[in-house]
Amino acid sequence: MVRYIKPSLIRKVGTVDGHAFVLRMDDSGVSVNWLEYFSGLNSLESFDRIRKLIRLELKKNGRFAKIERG
Amino acid sequence: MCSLEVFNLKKEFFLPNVSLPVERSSDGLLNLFDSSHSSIALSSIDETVKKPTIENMIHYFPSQNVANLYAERIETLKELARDDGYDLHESSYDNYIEFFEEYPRLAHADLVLLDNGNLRAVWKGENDAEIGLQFLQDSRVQYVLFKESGPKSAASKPYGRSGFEETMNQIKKFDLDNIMFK
Repeated sequence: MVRYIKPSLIRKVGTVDGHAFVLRMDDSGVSVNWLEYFSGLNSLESFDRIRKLIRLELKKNGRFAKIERG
Repeated sequence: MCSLEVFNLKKEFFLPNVSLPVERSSDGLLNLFDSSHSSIALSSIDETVKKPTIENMIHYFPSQNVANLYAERIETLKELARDDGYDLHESSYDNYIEFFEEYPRLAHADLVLLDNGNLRAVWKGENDAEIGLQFLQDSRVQYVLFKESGPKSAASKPYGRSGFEETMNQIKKFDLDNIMFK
């Protein structure tokens, strides 16, 4: 799974702050995208699809955090 | 005529022979009130009232370089946040400053700006040990502590919201204070 991380939540050293995955008060869940949904595509192609489909405004300094799920 | 510089943002501060409560106005400056709470116009007494900033609190940071790094980082975070439609919460910034007043010369922490407008400082140690403090308001922080093997006592909590002193007690229980006080 991947989650878009706002630039202000990326630490100066380049890592994502854990708070980016904390459920916000008014939200019912943490919004993620399912990278594996795009079967047959490699990782870069899947990210490209997500970039096109995502409803958020992606910033130049924003990042996608990839999370392995069990 | 007098000139006054305020470096300590407390509920009250004291001038010689007079005690005046302080309130912050919408423009971020401080308004002084007399005992009847009638506002004293700042211009009439030629006050220069300064809000505490990292630059004028250099003595609370390990070096000028660290103070500059914090100041630059906060400016960068504010710009990034504004671009995303939010801003630094002033009470969080004040709380951050207050924390460094209370515990001066802490090791340099990485800073992020959460989407609720609060600053969060992170100190990292060896073996993924980490202290994360979100600066709330009224001298309270939300802390999250990571350590490979933490204390087992029920009184030890790896996360929570508390005042500065209780937070530091928890950090010490996890033996993580060496990360902050390098």
